[in-house]
Amino acid sequence: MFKINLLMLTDMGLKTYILRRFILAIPVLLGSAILVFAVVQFLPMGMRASMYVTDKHKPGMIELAIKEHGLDQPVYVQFFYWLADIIVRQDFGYDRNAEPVLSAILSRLPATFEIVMWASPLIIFVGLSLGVLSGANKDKLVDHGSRVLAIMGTSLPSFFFGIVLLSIFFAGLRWFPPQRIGQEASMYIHLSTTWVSYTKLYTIDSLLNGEYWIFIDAIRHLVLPVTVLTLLNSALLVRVTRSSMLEALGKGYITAARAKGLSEKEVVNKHARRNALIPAVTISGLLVAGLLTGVTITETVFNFGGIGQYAAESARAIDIAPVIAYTLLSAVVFVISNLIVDILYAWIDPRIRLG
Amino acid sequence: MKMQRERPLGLTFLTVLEAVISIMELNIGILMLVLGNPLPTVFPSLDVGFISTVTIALGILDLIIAYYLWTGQAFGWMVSVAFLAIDVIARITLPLVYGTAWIVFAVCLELDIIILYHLTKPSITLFFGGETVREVFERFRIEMEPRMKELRFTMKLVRKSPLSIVGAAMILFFAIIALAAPILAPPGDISQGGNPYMMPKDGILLVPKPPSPKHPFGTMEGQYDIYYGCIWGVRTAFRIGLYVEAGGLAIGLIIGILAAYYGGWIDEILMRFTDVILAFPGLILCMAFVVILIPMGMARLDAVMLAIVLVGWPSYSRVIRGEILRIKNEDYVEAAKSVGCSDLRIIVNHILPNSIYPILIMSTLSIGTTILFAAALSFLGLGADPGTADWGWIIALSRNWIYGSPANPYANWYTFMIPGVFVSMFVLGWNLLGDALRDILDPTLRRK
Repeated sequence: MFKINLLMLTDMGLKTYILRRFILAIPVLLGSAILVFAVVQFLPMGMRASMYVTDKHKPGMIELAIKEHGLDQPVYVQFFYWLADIIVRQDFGYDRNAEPVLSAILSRLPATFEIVMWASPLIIFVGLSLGVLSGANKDKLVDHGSRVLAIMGTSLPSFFFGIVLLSIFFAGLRWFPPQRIGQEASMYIHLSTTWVSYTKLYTIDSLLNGEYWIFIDAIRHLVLPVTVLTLLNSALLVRVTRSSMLEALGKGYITAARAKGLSEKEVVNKHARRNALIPAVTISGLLVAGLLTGVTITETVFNFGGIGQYAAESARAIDIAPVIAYTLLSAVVFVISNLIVDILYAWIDPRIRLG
Repeated sequence: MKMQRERPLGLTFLTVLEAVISIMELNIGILMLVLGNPLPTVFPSLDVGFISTVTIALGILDLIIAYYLWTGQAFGWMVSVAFLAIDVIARITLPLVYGTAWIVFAVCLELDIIILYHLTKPSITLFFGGETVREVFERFRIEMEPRMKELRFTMKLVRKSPLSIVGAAMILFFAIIALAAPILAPPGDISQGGNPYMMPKDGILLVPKPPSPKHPFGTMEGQYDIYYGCIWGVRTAFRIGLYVEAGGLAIGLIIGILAAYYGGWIDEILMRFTDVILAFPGLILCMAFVVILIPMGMARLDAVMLAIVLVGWPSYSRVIRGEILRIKNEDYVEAAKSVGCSDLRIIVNHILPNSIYPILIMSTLSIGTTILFAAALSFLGLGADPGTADWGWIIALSRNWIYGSPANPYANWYTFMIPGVFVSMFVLGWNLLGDALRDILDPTLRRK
């Protein structure tokens, strides 16, 4: 009876916790929208209006955009116009090629998603296993190796690392080319009548269509960007897991487990590792930020054609609308992933939601 | 040891003199930064920014000396003498480089020598109420005993962590390169428009040329000299790192102190504001700021630095706030309050000295990240103007030359390898130093 009551209590705790986190995330999202809006206010009106115009040089267009988007209204009214444009009409303006920003981003999203889809499990696997290994074998060869990797990951500029990889594996060995897919495969995808785009992710679609050579081609193009992202982003995870593993191994229950006569393997795998992985969950939110940043740079290096490269190229051309849209998008992704991480953490560790 | 010492009149006089020099120098330095240097220098190509930075740095040094003279302690006397010696040496050597601009320093030099003389003459009767140098030394030894013990302990820790020595050596190496840049890679004048931070061009040919005696690291696209770019790039990197850290630290300190000390709704508003900035991935928000700042008419490198400051300060203010909240309820703060100290005095004299370590460590750690940020922005095409001696920009341009030729695909290795190694080593040095500093200086980790 008592046990059931306690369970119900903790369940209630989790529910209220989730609700509270949700409510707390709303002002942050609104605040980031206000920040972006306030920053854009520093630009003159004409420049802001030109974000909504397909052809700047056509007479009357700018004036029309000013009227339509309320740019001559007081600032707080403008903010609501702007918010309504984004939320209700999904209108982020046009980029310099007169393409609506939203459709440009949506058409490039699958490429970015494909990199992230392959990189994130690898990052988590490499980061956690290396961290646990080096924590369990402190000051052994594995430990030194993974610490060197961690230092490299935080000190090596990702663009430089990417260029070196390209020089060796593309220019020299011709194994892994840049871009998202080879010319032949690209022609086939666009011209073939039997090809069906289920997900727009080449690695999945090719398997569903039974075209294995396209799968291999897509993987060859993915190897280098995924390597760069994995090495640079798993560094942080390795460090956190290592130190929490060291901390867990110093706890009393480990001594108790050892005194009970368990083998070292069982002590590490069953007792230390589980508790060491909890702090690693808390930094997965940071990993998402690292991925968003990393994608912006790696896509540019490897000419991968995702949203990161789109934003970077727009930024270089001082094309404001896509950069603003990308910034907002990344804030939303980051806030939501932090929310999920918080909830996950509370679910794993009851001390958080009850404390 | 007498507890309450009367401050001798002479010491007060020296303190005021030192403070006047300091304020004069700070003013001149800031004016030069804003208006430009009116005085001719030996190398016309040397930028005003460097001279004014040196002037401001000397001004800050003098301010520190004035503070230590004011304390009237033997420790303060030692520090003042050491710093004054540095001051004098700096002021004597500077005219070798800065020519007639040295006039700015001449008066200060003379005053410094006078002060130094009065502080070190055999019997410092006038300034220390009849004590001899030997007595001051003795007092110094007693005053310093606990500190010396900690210092010996620190040195032991430093010896135990070779990585900190490696990191410090790397930074020192880069600092020497930065200082000696005009000697290592003398700026020309025609192709650079008089700005030593612009790389000289040797021709207009597009294709990079491999290393040769004339261009030790080769030339890149557009015949920019890579050697020159790498050497002066060290200065650019230091400039970005130090300016950005100073800016971020200043904003972070003010906001963090306000939030923590006053609490209540001020705290709530300020911290929610930091929440909002931390809700963005840093580099992406930087990108957005730069894209807005450039059309507003800001120089590109300044825009990058300002953007990184604006994105970076919240993490400082968070840490500072946490530290102060921890310290705020300590007994010594209560004691200071109960004897009627002002808020400012409590913050400056009691809270800051006890909370500054983690923040200093954090800022050293993040110089590496700052340089990475700036280099990444340069690589994306948002950083320095084309032609600036900036590692990120050199690598960005080298991206077009990854593939050499069918016979030798690695033919252009020097265009990206050399500047890339410079960036990586610079960042690595700061990261190693910061990591080691954290283990050595952080009071919570120190005795583990």
